[in-house]
Amino acid sequence: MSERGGPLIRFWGQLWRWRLRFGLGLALGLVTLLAALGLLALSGWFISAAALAGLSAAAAAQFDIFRPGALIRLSAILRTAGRYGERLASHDAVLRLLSSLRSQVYRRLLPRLPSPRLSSGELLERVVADVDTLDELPLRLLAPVLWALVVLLTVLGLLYWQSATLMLRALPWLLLGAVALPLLLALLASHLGAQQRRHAGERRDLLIESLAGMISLHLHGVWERRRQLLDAADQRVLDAQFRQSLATAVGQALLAGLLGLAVWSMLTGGVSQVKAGPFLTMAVLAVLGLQEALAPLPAAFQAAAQGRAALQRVNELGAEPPVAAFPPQGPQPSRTPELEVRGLSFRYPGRTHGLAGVDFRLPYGRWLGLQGESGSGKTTLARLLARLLQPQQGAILLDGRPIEAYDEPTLRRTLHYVEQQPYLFNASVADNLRLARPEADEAAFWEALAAVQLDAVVRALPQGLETLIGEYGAGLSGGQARRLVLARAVLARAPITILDEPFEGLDGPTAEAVMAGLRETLDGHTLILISHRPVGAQYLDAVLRLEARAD
Amino acid sequence: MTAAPHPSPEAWLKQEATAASLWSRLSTGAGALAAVATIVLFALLARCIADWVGGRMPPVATLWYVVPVLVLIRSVFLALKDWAGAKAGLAVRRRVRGRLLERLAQLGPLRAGIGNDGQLSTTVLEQVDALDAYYARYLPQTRLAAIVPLLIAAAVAPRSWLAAVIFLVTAPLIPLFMVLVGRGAAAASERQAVALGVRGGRFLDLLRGAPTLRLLGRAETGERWITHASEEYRKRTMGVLRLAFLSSAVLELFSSIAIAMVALYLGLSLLDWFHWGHYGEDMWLEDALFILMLAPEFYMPLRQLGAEYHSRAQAIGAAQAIMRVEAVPGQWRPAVASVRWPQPVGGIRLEFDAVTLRYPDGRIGIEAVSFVLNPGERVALVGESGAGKSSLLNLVLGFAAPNEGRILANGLNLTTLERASWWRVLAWMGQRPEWFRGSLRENLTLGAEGYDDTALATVLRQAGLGGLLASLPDGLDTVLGEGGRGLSGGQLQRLALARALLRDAPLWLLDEPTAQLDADTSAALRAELARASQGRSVLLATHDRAHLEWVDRVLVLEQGRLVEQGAPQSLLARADSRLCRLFRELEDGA
Repeated sequence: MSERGGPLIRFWGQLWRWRLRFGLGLALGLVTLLAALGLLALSGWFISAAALAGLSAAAAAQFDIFRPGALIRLSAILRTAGRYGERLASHDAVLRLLSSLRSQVYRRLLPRLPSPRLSSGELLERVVADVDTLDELPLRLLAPVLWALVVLLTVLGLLYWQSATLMLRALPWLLLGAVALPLLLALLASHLGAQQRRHAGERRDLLIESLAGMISLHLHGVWERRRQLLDAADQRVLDAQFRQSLATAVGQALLAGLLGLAVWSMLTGGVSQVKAGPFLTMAVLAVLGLQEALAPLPAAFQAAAQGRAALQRVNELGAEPPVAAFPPQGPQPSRTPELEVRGLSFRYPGRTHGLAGVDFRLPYGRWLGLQGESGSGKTTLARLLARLLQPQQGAILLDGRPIEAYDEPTLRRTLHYVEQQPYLFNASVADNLRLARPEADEAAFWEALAAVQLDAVVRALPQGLETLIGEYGAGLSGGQARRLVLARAVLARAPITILDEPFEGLDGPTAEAVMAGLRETLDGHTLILISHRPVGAQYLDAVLRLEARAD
Repeated sequence: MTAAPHPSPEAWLKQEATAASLWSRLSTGAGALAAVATIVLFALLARCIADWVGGRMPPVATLWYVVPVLVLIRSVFLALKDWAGAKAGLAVRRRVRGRLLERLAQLGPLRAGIGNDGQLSTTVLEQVDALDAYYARYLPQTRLAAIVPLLIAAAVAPRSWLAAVIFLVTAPLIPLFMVLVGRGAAAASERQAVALGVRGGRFLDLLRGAPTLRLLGRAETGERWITHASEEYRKRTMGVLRLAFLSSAVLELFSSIAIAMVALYLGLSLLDWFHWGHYGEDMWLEDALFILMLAPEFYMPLRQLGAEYHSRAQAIGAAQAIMRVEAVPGQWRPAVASVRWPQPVGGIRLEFDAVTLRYPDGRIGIEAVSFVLNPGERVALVGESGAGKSSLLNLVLGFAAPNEGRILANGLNLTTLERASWWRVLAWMGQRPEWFRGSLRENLTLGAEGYDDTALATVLRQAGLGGLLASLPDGLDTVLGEGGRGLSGGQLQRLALARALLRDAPLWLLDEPTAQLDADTSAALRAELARASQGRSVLLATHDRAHLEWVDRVLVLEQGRLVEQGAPQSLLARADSRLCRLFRELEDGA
């Protein structure tokens, strides 16, 4: 929980976890490539040998056509089945990898949330997209490189086995094409990729700022000039992308050329070719067939650069410190905990005002109202109590012990904080409620919904409790969403409940009815109510007025 | 002015292809020539190999000089094909992006109806970029997949008609294959895209709601949900893929079978066991080799097309996003046949004469609104969000035009005015501060020339930024907004005020200028606005009761209609006025 710094996810560790499944995909891919190569090379050897045998009727009659024929058929079958199996195995492995990466990202990010930096919607969207990009690394970098290497070595071995001269004549060209060229392209790709990402970032910033300021730009008659700036920024990105795709294209053309030259070099060798006989055909076709295994290499490193950049961005989030440190195991508070706050101060960096020297003691079962101007620190106090912030001075005591002593599950069980901006998940009403008490049954749901005047609304939904809500499902109005979150508080029945502006978006009578429902269900438990409206004042045992202080 | 909405994204993609048809054809041509070079090269290699295997010396000149030259030529054509393809992608993207920016500029503030600026930027940048592969590779490849196999069959036929027939029979239904491959892959990628959206959405949902889960003590529930959603997605995807990958397996199968059959046929012919399918008595090794070497090349373009199929699905997705922006018509009037606003201008008298604005989707912007804004008068527009305040300001700005009624500025009809000349008399301040990377000076003048430093310093002082100017190391030329030296929201709004003062514009349009500021900053800015706007005509859209202290008149809007107007004090004094009721509702949040 308290890890600080370091990378957010262990990508290679997770990859290793799925090694058997990836291994199966790799093996099948290798079988496919070798079968394709073997099919062609064997066929070449077969017809050359047949041609030689065909010169004399006796030799032709003795020619064994069945063994090569069977091998050729086997290659054809292996190639087809291998391709299909490889596709399935490697996609299955990648999907499993992404699944475990997502869990890991979530697990590691959770202690760091909510943080002002990480909580921006755009950043989280990017994290989601970046994690999905990580499949590039195994699929488009590791597998092709490994395959290329094994297939290349196999072909070189085959050449060496029959004729070292042939192997040596092909070797320089093959090394140029399979080693030097990809390495060169890898260097170029990381340089061009970084350049392109930089330009793309600038282009995006410029566009967003131009859209935001569009009216002023129009009124000042300078929109056209802006357009030119935008076009220039776009052109820089397009140029960089063009250079990248050109590098890949030239790389692929060079690879094809180098394989051609390897064949040329083998064929111009002299009399040793005559000795090689039918094997020469096999060698030439094997070298030409390398194309299939080597062709993904030029693009592989471009994909690798993207995947690595995504991995780096995700891992940079690990630098964000967790919002609060919890001990792994803490004491248990009593069932009737008392809350005490002593000299509590907190000021957000860069602000002139904040919470300063707050003191109060809240025996169990009391209801406390927190009031004050906006900016006086009501929400800050609530967040300090919920340990979403660390106090700069003072202490919060729960049953006489500093609140920092309790472990997180215990604290969350003891203290239920309902934030001002409720979040509902894209899940059913029941699932959203169940979060408060997983073991609750349907009757408990309806009781909690009735307490917050929401039972009729949910009954009227197309699928009742099972209706999906949130972004994708039937929407609830702002006031209904808020009440659903209050229903969670009712379900949880925590010893201490903190409600932050629970009546926003509710009209007067509804707010009073909700408050009465809360009283009915939560009476006897401690409650802290932050509200600028006078709703429910009759239930409060005490009111604390906060004042913004510049300390 | 605006093109009719396109029927389908596929049609849209085809239509855009005309922008790059030259490059695209060049790419196809280069690809076909590379295939021709391959055919010739393989013919020569087959000859040389056959000679060596047969114990003869191959033609030295051919082997030594012609082969490497052909290898080189083939590589040049291959590179040319991709180069021209990349050019095609560039041409289309530049065109589409230019058009989108043009459209957004026409829509002005109305663009908010399509999406927020982040989403729009994604459409303009990433979505347009996602078109690239379709034009750069997929389109030329569709043509090559038809041309190259025919070229190869034509080259093989003179040596063995049976081999050509085997090729054409194993891939006789090339178009059918393409449809098969296409359908399978398209259906798969569509279902996958939907699943991807849901799954990506799930992960995003849980990350966004992570603080809530944490507060509820249900961290492990979130993780279980993520695992569950990913597993569901994996199972569904694998189900789809088992089918989708069949199409590529079928291609492999036919390609393998053809090679095996051709090899067998060639071998038997060479052994003299089989005398059919070629011309003359005997099959020669040279011919046999040539045919065998070309066999994989025959299927290559089809396999490449299959590999590029996802670019099509990607491009269709991008086209849909782009078409959404293009489907919203701008209301920009052409500059021709327009009246220029007379210079110089004094005060402005703005008259709304029974103005109605309806949006293309049928929503009412404002309905039959009439009022007069006199020179030097300051008027607040008050109403709930959606009541028509922004529509009214957009009409004055000229981003929308009345469906009925007229807007007159000093007697001139706004819709006939040349917009640039009208804009010169307006000053604007929105709720979100505007900032352009660069120096303080550039942000003040936005690039206009002819202001001296004294004038700039004066307006900054008047807007309450004198202290800031004094604190900056390079004064007006300090580059701000980078490295955390940005200004606060209040300072940025003051900067907008300074811009308005600098232009000396007689009509100010203010759209919730203090909505995003905290109470203290907001009060201070209100005071500056009250002082600085004296003598100008002001239209101020606001929710905030405090602004009513400095305006001369309030217009209350409800659902697009002007329901009440009068001096703020007298309306606030009557508890049953619409204004009082509105504020009560706004504050109760009902």
